[in-house]
Amino acid sequence: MAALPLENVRVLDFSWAMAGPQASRLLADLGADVIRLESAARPDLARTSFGPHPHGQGVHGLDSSGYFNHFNRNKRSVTLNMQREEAQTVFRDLLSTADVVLENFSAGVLTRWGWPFSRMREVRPDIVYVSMAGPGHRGPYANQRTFGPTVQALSGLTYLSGFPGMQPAGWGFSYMDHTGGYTAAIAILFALYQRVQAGYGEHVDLSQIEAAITLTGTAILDYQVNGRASAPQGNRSRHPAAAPHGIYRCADEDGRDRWIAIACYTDEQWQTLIEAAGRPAWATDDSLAGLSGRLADEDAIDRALDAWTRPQLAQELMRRLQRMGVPAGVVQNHRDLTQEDEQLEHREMFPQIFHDLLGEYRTDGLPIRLSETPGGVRVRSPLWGEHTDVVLSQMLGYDSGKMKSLRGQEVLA
Amino acid sequence: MTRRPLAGLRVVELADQQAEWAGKLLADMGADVIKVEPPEGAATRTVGPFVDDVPDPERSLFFWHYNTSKRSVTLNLSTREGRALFLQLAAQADAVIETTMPGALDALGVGYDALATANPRLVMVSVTPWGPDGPYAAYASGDLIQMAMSGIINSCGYDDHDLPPVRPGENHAYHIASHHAVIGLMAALLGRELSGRGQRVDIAVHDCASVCSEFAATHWFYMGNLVLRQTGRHAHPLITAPSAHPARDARWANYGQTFNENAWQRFLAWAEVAGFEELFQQFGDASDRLARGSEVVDAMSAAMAALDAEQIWKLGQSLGLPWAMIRRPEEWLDDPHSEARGFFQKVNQEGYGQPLRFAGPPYTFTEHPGEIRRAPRTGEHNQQVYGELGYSAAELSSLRDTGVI
Repeated sequence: MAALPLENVRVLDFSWAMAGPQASRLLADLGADVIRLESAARPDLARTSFGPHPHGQGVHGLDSSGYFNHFNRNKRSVTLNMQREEAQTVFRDLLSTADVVLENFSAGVLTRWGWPFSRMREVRPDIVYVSMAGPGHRGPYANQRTFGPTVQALSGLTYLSGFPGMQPAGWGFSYMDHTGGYTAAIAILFALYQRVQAGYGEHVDLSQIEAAITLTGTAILDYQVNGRASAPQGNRSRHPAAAPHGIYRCADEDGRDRWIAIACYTDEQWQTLIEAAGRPAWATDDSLAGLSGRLADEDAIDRALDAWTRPQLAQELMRRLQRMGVPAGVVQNHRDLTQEDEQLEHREMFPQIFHDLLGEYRTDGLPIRLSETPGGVRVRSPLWGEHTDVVLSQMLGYDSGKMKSLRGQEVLA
Repeated sequence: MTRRPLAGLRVVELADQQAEWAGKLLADMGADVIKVEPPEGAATRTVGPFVDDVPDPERSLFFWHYNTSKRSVTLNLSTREGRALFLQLAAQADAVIETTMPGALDALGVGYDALATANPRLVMVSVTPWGPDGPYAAYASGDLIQMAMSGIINSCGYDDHDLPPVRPGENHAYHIASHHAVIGLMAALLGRELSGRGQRVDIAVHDCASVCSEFAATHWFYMGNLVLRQTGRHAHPLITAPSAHPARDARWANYGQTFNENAWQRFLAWAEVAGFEELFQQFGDASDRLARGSEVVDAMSAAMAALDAEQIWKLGQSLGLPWAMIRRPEEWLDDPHSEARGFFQKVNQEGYGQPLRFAGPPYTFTEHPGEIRRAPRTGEHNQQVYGELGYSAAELSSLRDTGVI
């Protein structure tokens, strides 16, 4: 039986909200033993607030959130209040068995709890510690507080998204919580690889703002080299240059506006597109046969395409264009993703997850398919403190007297 | 010299824009990433912007951004000798990242089976638009198409739904896929420590981008509700209050009311000093403020009417509030925070007369940091890399003359 690739990796996970849990979700899906360290002194916003809570907020205490379940499957939960004196020895004992410590607090929280990296390393010399505060742990903004949308705003990602001359549209969700999480997972895996090869661990000071800045494409180089200020492009594309390249309205369905994305990266695709449209007079002008002509006439092409797509059903139009070879894609919503998209169904991207308090729901699958050691969704998110006993008693060998004493001092709360 | 975190890791990259970012992330942290290009150069060398806007394969800023720290070799996979070179490169590598269409490498005799026979420890990451098979496997793709099909664009745009939804700027479906490609590659390498064997990693851009949607997923899965796109803030099943507000300098600041009582008191203390106490006397406790959300934010905007966006951002932070402003990416170049962290690294990029500042790795390995080295010229490392495989100068010259490299 093949082991999961990260089966021998244990992560002590202080992270909360979404960016950190996205990182540890990936690691857990790939087999890591992710132990969430949680405390009622600062319960995870994903348990208390972020929803939806299908049976009502707080109906099952700290186990009512679908959002929490979505981002924390395959993990274990241990309650530990780091502000209690006795928590020090519990954390030390956990640390001595761990490979990775992950947290997404603002800078300085672990140090305030008495656990700067230097001390972690005394207990576990090759520990990998990844912090992922928005601004990072060093620098004049190190104490700034951020969350997904403000990381996006500060970095430039928001500015680059929208129609020229209008308020930035930005991102309609916390892209940088997802991507901050991907980046943290990458940093952890790089550090574990380094540990295998070179024998040492390290503190990795990840900045989510920096992660976002790296994703602004050529904006920073273009500014330095050509003196060009960055600017939003709407739905158009100059790099690579393509025209038409836009999002066009289709027939409304169920009272909702519906749209299709169409892009012609080659002249051949353009010819196929106008073939599909029945070679209307506006499209057959010779000047449009080449990219430069289409770029010059983009406004008129967009208007005409929009009029052509307007009465059509988005999914039908996409299938027809794609059969002919034109890059086209419905602006899909989640109903489309789960009920119309035959490819995602074929790939089984949205498996069911059963939660004994909440019920059975679909969730995001693992989009990393390993041929020999496939990971994926195994068990629901942990109930509040569900694994405190098993981890402390069985893994650390604490006897019932010690457990009772810790509980009496409200260390495990 | 500092040992880099991925020192000793060798990766062969046969990738277009779908996964060049993956190779770059590995190379910047010390992996030896050998980029395999056709003799005329990778297609991304034709993507602008270019230095002085003069199109040229050695002047593409797009190529530079996505290909830092790699070595470049050329080879023509449609020749027998080119395929032999590719096989030899893969035989000595830990991993291959490739973005050819499903089945293309198999048809040439250099698919996974052939490579794994030569090198059972090889990890082969295949990034495809839709996956190796299935009803859409042959569909045409593109970042815009992927962003639409994933559900991401459905969440992005304006309150006015007569305006089209908006694809966020830059090629993010490819960023998302590349991040997953790196995670899969590294996990498979760590798994190899247990099993002794490599394996295949199948990454579809469509899969990856379709699980990057936060609340749109949870509202649908748990409640059957679809989200509505809203200007500059989260999509949500209901219409919510604006979170970006124009400042005096016509730039945008991100702020809103707070239900943290301590933070609210700190804000009131500031407002009092600034002479705006009377604006806030009408508001009561947190539940009253929640019920009168837009009035509270309007009062805050009035109190901050004389401030620029940057002042609002920093005022909020000084009060412990998570406020921000909408910045342009290039504003970080000379920002004191970037400077203190050494985030931008100076790189002498050939084809440009002076050092350029590239964004560095966003994860600072505090003892063994990564390093950005310049992107390679087309085939710049042919002699070096093929020399390492044992080819003599005469043999390389002949391969060049026959169009193999």
